[in-house]
Order: sequence, then C-alpha cells, then structure tokens
Amino acid sequence: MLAHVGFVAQQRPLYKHFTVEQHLQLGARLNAQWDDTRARERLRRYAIPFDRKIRTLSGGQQAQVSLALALGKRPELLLLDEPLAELDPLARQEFLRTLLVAATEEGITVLFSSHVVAELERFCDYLIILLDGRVRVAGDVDELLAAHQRLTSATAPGTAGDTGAIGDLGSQTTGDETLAREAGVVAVTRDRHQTTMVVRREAALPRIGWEVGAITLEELVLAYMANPSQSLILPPTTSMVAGQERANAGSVGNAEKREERVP
Amino acid sequence: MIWLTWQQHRFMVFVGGLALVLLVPFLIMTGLDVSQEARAAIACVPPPDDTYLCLRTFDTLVRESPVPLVLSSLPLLVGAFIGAPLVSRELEQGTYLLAWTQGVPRRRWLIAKLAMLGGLAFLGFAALAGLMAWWSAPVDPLVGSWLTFDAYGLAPFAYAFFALALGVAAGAIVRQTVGAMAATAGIFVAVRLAVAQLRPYFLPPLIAQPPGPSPTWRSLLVQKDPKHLLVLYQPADRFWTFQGIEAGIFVALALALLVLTLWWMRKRIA
Repeated sequence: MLAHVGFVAQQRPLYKHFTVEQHLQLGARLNAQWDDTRARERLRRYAIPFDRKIRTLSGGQQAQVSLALALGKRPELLLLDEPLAELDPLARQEFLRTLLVAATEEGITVLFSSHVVAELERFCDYLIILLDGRVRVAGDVDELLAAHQRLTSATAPGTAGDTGAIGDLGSQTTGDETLAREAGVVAVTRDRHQTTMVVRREAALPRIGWEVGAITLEELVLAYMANPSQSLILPPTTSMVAGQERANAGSVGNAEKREERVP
Repeated sequence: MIWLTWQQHRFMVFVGGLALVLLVPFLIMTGLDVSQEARAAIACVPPPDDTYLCLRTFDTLVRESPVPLVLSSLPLLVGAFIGAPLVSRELEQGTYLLAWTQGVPRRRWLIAKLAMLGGLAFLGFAALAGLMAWWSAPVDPLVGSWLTFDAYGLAPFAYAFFALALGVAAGAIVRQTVGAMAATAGIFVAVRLAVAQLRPYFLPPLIAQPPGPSPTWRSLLVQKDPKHLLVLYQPADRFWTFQGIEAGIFVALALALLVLTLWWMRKRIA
C-alpha cells in the first residue's frame, strides 16, 4: 500500500543537513518504482541545485524537493497536508503547476487540504469542506458552482430599493435561519452599500431588483463556513467514480481528484 | 536502508570508532600492569599465617582499576547516543513523516537501522571483549573473575543490546532527543544496579564455616552471618552460569523493549 501513496506533510519535512542529491538517492533507494529522470527534471525546471543542503534552500524550493520526492515514487494517490501554507504567491503558483502537470500527465489522483481558497478554483475538480470534523459540502467543483448564485442589491436593506420578499427574507435570515435555509439562502452579508446573498440556484426567490451573478469558489467556501448549519453534499459524479476505479486498478488514467478542506 | 543508515549515523560511527581506538592503548597499558602484578603475586612466598598477603596488592589493583567501570559504562553511551536519538530525532524534527512514507515500512526501517548500528556496536564490543579476555586472564586464577563480572564475557554484549533497545523505546515514547537520552541513562543505571543487587541470589548460595570457602578470594561472598558464624557464597565455578543468567535477563528485557517499540511506533505514532 505504502508504495502506491505519496505523501507531503504540512511542514514538508526534509533532512536539513542532507543535500538535494542525498534526498534523491534516499528516494531511489527506499522506493521500488522510483522515477529518477522525472524527479531530477522537475527540480531542474526550478533551477534547484542538487549539491545544496536543504537548510540553504528557500521555502518554495524545499516544497518542490518534497513534492519531487513524493512524486518520484510514482504514486497512484498523492496526499498533501496544507501544501500551500507558508509559500509566497510565486512559489504557490509553481507548486500548483507541478501538481497539475503530475495529475494530468501521469494520471495521479491528488488529494489535498488547504486554507488557501482563492487559487483552488483552477486546480480542483472536487471539493470537500470540513467544519468541526464534519463534511458540510462535497461535490464536483463545476457542479457546486453551477448550483449557486450570487444576488446583489445595490442598496442596503431596509431602504427604498430593498423591497418585497427578498428584503423580508434578507432580514429574516438573522431572526429565522430555518426559513432562510428552506428557501435556499446559504448566506447573507450586508454592508453600508449593499446586501449580498449566496443562494441555491433552485431557490424559489423572485430575483427582481437584484443583480444575479455566478459565484466564485472562494465565495462559496466562505458562505458555507460562515453558516455552519448549511450543508450540501452532491452525489458523486461518473468521472469521480471512474477516477477511483482507475486508481484502484493501478493503471494510468487521466483522473484527478482534489480536496479542499477548511477546518 | 544501509545507505540511509550510513548517511544519517556516520558521525556517531566515527565517534564510536575513535572511542575504540583510544580505549585500546588504555586497556593495553592497564593490562600490562595487571600481568606484572600477577607475576609478582605468584612469585611471592606467603607466610603460613596469611596466605592472602601476597594477593592483597593484586586484589587492590584489580578492585580499584577504572577498567571494569569504563567498560561497563560503554553500553550506556551506546544507548544514550545511538539508541535514544534513532527514533526521537525523526519525531522531533518531523522527518518521520518523510522516512516512513517511502516504500519501506517503518517496522523494516527500524529493524534495518538497529541491525546495522547494533552490528557495528557488536563488532566494537567484540574487539574490546577480546582485549578484556587478555586483560582478565591473570585475574581469574588468582582472585577470581567475579571482580570483573560486568566488564568481561557475555555481560557487556547483553548490556549494550539492552541499552540500545532501551534508547530506541525511550525515544519513541518520549519523542524528544534530550529527554530520551536522560531517560535511557537513568533507567539503564537503575536496572543495572537492581540486577547487580539480585545477582548473588541467581542460584541458592553455598554455605561454609568461617573463615569461609577455600580459597575465599575466588568466590563471590554473598553474606557473612556473624551470629551463626556462617558464610554464604557463590563458588568460582559458577561464574559462567551467572554470566549466562545475567546476559539472559538483559537480552530478554531488550527483546521486550523492541516489541514494545514496534507496537508503539505502529499504534501510538500516527
């Protein structure tokens, strides 16, 4: 089992007094299916010198070494615990790019947890939100986004522009959450200038007077995090199931699965 | 694993080798003194009323020699400096998450490391045991081997194996290198002292009338009972039986600790 799973822990542990070369050798000697060429290629792409000790490398470079080690064993499943934490934006981009290439070219299923929400939309196929140890949201990212809408009213609630059922509902959410939830409202935020609601697409609400827009993954995650009573678990899609089957069969497929976790 | 063990522990291997190189001349010098005094003791003609007189100088020399103490404290160093950091350093620095997620399961990782480092320690102790056999050769026929019991024969090997296993277990449980080293040292000394207290009673002692068994100085005196005027003792020919019992106790403890460590690493360290 160990041979088929790659793992990058949160602190990206490496032997600080070992060189990059020693880590590559460690990978080669401790893993039966080690892919030395690919591992070295990955590190060369980011100009990481093999003769340098780990403690002299930047955080981003160390992350690349960790990832190269985990990918070098040719896993079918790659697990990453908070891989993006403590990385600067550029290192984050490069790290995600390496991941994406591995997932698409080698068919590795990638599962990772992250607090960094904004950058995940382009990379993840599947999202799970955990809150207090319970699954609140799970589903294909595209389906999740398609299932929600953002409604914006240009004026603050209670003023002339904020009228009718939506306005009532907007104010009800504070007083009566159950009613709002049943109507399909996930979250409501207000400031001096506008009221914004994240609602289910099928929500039986009149949209008159509201600007309707698509939501981003970040908005979706924040909406569900802010309202722990809300939950949405979509049934697994066919591509999901196929991806799992492929991973179990041990063949190379083009399936990728990402998890996004917000504790 | 051999490669990795060497890369991670070569410094300690060098230190161990250096210690060995320094100990050899020390043992040779003191050993020469011992054989010289032994010759003097043999050449000496004792007065009929005190046959022990000729052996007194020799007996004192062996009794006060730092060699048995130095040799019997080497296992402690093996436990504290090789055993204790083996797992605790990986836990402390988080690198166990790297080491144990490669293709080699953690059980094999530990056994491979212990086999290699334990094997090297064994070679070092074998070299010292050879030298110690030469060192003690004149001691045995004159004042008996009980004086150098824990520095001679099987005992040091068993102590070293026990100390190594103790260090690894302490490291896995304490998860912190310095703490594991301290725990190893403390427990090792305590267990050694406790077993040494029990040692005279490994077998029921023999009983003799005063002044005691003949020759008294070659046996292990268990107890002198002033009231009943009896002497309890272990005769010299039980030396190797006692070595076997002592070694057996420590090897059994070491094996139990290894099983505990493997279990702990599997169940208690996520």
